[in-house]
Amino acid sequence: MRYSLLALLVAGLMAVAGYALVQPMQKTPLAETTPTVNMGTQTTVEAFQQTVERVVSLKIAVDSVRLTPGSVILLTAIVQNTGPEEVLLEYFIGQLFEVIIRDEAGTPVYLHSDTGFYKHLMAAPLHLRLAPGETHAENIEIKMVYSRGGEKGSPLPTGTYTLTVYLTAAVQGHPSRTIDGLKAYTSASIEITVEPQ
Amino acid sequence: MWWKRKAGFAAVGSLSVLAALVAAGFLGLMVLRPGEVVDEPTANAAAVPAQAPDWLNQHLDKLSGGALMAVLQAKGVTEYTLAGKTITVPPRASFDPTADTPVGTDPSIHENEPSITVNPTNPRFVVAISHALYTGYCAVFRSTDGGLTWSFVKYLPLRFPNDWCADPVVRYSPNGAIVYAAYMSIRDVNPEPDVVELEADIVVCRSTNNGASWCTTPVVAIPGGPGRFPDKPWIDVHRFFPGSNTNTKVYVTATVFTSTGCHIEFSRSTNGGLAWSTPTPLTPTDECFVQGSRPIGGKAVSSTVGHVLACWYHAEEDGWWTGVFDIRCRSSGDYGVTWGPEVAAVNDMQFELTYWLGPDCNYHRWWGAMFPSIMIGPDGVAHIVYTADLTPSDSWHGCTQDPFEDPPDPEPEYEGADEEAGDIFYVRSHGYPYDFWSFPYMVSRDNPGYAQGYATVNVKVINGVPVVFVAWLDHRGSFWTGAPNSKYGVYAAWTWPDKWGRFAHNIQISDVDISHSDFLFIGDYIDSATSNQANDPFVYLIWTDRSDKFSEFDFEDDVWMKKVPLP
Repeated sequence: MRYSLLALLVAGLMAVAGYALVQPMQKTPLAETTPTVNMGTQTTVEAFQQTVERVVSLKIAVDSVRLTPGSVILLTAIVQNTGPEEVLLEYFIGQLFEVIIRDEAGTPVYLHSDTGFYKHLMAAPLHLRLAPGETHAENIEIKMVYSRGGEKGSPLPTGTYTLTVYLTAAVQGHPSRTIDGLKAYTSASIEITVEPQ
Repeated sequence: MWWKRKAGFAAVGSLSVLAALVAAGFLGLMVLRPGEVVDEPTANAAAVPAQAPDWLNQHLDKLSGGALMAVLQAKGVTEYTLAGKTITVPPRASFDPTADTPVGTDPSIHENEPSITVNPTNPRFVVAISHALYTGYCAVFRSTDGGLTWSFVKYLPLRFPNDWCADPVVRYSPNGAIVYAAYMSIRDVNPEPDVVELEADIVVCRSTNNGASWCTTPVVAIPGGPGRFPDKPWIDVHRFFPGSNTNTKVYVTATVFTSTGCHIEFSRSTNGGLAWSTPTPLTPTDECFVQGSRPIGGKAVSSTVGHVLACWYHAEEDGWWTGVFDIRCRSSGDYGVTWGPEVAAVNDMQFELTYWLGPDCNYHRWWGAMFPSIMIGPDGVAHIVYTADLTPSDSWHGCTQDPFEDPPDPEPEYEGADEEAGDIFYVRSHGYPYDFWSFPYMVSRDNPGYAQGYATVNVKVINGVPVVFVAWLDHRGSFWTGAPNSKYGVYAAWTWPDKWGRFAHNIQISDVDISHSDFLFIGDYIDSATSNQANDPFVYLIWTDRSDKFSEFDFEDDVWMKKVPLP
């Protein structure tokens, strides 16, 4: 009986300790998509999905989440060094970020690298060094059209879409991964709607 | 009986403990599970396993003697105790004329994508050039003792103060009087910090004292500007044909991206690189199928008749990084003033490489290995080497999933790039106008298959025989790691006229075969050079070396070279 009680006590302690130890390693979003600040007359919406083991965080913001077919959305992607040491990001020209827009069925309709020539360039990679807490932002204009296939260039029809930004830079000393079939360090998503004009 | 009772209690207690542990584990899972359910894109991603930097140490005593010595040298170990016996490890850098030799090894600078040239009339002088990532410049290195020792000379000047450098290539003039360096000078022209708007020019800087000093301002050979972005330059000369008609002639090609497509442009200089012609498009300007061009000068017949060949990669109509591709060329009979029709030196080659080196896009940029390396020997024969993948992938980036596969293919014919992600192929053409080419011959032989790529071809005349030398980066040495293509070394093979159609066996050239692959970039080429001197029976080979690395997420690279003695 003594051993049973002891065992139950040990089990209880292990469960608590296990939870306490493993909890920091769980992939928990620090914040969900939330409307935040006003930029002039337009609402900026930030999406913040970041796993806690990542030393570089990715935030995205758009000037509007309600768009008309063929209109242009201004996307701001911000990376921040959330770790205690300087980090080095290495990436090719025009390939710090990739952007994919998917329709409600999850089918990609827009791949940002389709719209430029950067993916065909062979120039040397660029380096971005971020001190602890430092951020780097880039603005990306995205036209709400199909980027490939037979409908390439046609306005996206009305509906709800998910815009996902992938940080495709590699971070020195911190492994990347394959996210949705892309070689990326982390990603962030936001929901947008295309409404009739 | 007390002991039996105690044993019984112990047994019950043990079972209770065991049960409690199982329960605790289950409870822990139950407690943890809510935290695991995270609706984020990375949740179902396969994480790349991280390896401790010193993971190899546990296997050192199991390595063969040569491999152990190579690893210890790469790690900078001078003494090592094995089974109670102390081994003295000689330094890797030595004055052995055929040892691997460090060129650029600054621990804070990422030296990669090197190019090399040797003075054709005096092989005591050798000049190398490479990226110096972190500085924004391209670095020049120089040897005055035939490549035995090297010293940093300077960073090459850029067109504007805040420009950065990429894709450097270096070549001696045919008579050894001038050293040319061609490279990209890139800048962000948008003053807004959050908006990137790039422009670039292909520029040339020269030295007239064997690389000791260089121009103060480079000359633009292929200009960029709004709506024009030139990329991937190459420069070359009439390598084996010195003379008054060729000594000051030098050629540059590049890929120019515009709003209507991308095409190959050619520019030439007839006064030793001081002034350049208006670029000539060699491919249609209203489409985009081409990259990776190189020019080379051939026989000089007279002051007006001289052969020039330019070749490049063509993605073919089925798209980039998928299906088949071509190596296409055009030739000129008047030193690049006018050009003949486009010819497919390699037609519908199976298959294209993926953007990243597989398997599963685990490693560095790879697709540039398809681009041709070309050389015209003293007999006027043209040689091309390039990389093709015998095992195709339907995923252009080389990962396991194509996000644009529509509808998603539940059973894709080809998944992501596998470990057999490239082999080296060779074709030749007997002479001008270079409109007939041999069938591709596979030079790399590595059954059962790992990736080979980024080949360089050169010619060295040995006892009057033009020996064709091919070297490449080879990942076959990664077989013992269990992680295909995680390691690479430099391999080579050669042939000569009596052996047409058949190369000698593949030989490991680099002393070490353990350069660790990079996650992003090790350079898009390696390079080779030869002199014209009979007492210099070497090919000078240069590559990006990562033999001191143990993780693909350590991005620092070095540049090493070797003088390869030919038979």
